[in-house]
Amino acid sequence: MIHHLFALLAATYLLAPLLFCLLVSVADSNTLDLSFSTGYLSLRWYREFFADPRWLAGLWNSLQIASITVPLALVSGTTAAVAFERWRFRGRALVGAAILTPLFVPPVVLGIQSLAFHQRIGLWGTPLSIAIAHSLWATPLVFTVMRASLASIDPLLEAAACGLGASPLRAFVLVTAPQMLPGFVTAIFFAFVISLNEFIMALFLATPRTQTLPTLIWPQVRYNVTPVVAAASGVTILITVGVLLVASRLMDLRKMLTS
Amino acid sequence: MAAASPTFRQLGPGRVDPRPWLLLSPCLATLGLFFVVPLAWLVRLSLYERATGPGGFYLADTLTVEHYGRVLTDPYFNRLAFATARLGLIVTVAAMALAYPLAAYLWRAGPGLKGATLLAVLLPKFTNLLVAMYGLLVLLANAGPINLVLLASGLIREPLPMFANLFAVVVGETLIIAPYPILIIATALHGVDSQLVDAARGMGAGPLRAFFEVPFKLTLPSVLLAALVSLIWALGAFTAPVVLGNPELYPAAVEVYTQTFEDVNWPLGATLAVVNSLFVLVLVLAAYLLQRRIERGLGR
Repeated sequence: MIHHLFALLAATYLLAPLLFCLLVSVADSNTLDLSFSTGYLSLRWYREFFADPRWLAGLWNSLQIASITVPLALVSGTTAAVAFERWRFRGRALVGAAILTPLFVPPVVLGIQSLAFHQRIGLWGTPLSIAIAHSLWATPLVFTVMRASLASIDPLLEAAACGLGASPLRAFVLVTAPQMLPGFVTAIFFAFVISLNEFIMALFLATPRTQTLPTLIWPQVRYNVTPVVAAASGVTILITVGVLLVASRLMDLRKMLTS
Repeated sequence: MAAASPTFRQLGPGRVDPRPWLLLSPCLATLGLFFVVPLAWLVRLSLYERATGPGGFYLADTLTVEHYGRVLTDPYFNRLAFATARLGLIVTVAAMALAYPLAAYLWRAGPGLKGATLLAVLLPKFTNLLVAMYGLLVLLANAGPINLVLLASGLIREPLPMFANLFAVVVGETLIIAPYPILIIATALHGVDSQLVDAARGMGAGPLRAFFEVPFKLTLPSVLLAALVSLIWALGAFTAPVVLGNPELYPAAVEVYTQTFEDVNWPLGATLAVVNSLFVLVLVLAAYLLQRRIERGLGR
């Protein structure tokens, strides 16, 4: 009994702040001192969000940067995963550790080193600059997901296709690649969501032209707390849930196609 | 993934197959250009003198170790190092105290409860962590719901100070970091055969003893890894201290930001980042050696 209680308390601790933030975003109250005395629900903070060109620009930048991060991470992460799951080579363990290293570097360090370097080579202030920084984290995630996906695929099927006369490339494209689809969808989801929500590197790299939604939320949370922030946060949660739904749909679609 | 598996295309001895390296090249090229080179540039940047006038971020053609001297000797930075280490240790302990029991719960729970618990662990990670910090900000405020309930129940007369202090920072940062150790330990426990526990019970061990002797000892290397990952992230804490703390609690990561943007002293910010990274590197090496000793101690 006591272990269920512990799990419930832990889950409450992890989820309550999120739920509370959503609650604030739909409450018709001017302040954060929520007594819920009015008890009314309203979408006024969402209306205010969508009426403000600054928030909309941030939303657009965030989506744009996430859309650049996904292909960057997908190409380098997937090709590296194929190399790891299909070949043995010297230095394999070392290369594997090197690919994962950025995940264990504090974002502040990645932020300042990217800022200094991107400023030096003239990349600073572009959406690509932030997308490249985000792909430092997205690539090792894609790599890990795609390795797990490839490891679960029976390589003998590909060998059988080769035995039946297909070229190795053709066998890979026709036999193995379709089976990698669920892995791909998961990897795209991870890369997109990590870019959408990351904000410390973005804080270092963003210029007034490339503010992302989280970097716009940041000063609001620090200094000037109004419930519009909760609505802005609500928008990022909605996008994440939306992407998650599309991703799970695509995986069902693939199940329908193969069954 | 045995060496004899037909997946691995093998060539004769002495020849290097270029194909895996060709496939690795996009990844290694981006990693080199946008991670290794910037890291080297960060070290070089920390050795410049700070810019004196507007327009520049550092003074070109200079070479100095004055920033390192300042970081190591200035009492202000010593206090900063102390605050960083203290917060890192407290958050690591808190995260592990939450992570191990919850991972053990995930291990033994049925599929439904397991899925729900896993969702609770992952959902905060799939959303912006500022969302969670904002939620905590509201929850812990003097006029927040926790204090309102406690006041209304008559348990307290004045609102509990749960905001802008170390308590709030630890609550917030633990929330950010805990999912990592939870997932690492849960993965390790997942590989432990639960029949081993039954066997230990059958041989007369009590439930706690059976858990300690089998799954706990088997997952000890992963526990160490989980603690290390937590510590690395906790030493880089940035968000929770700023949103939920006060300037006296700000750790090194916040100072990096302040030096870079408010004082526009990029070389000093770079120095702090380099020192932080070196410290993490030492920790990783120490943990690696410790892990090897534990594994040898377990006879593996």
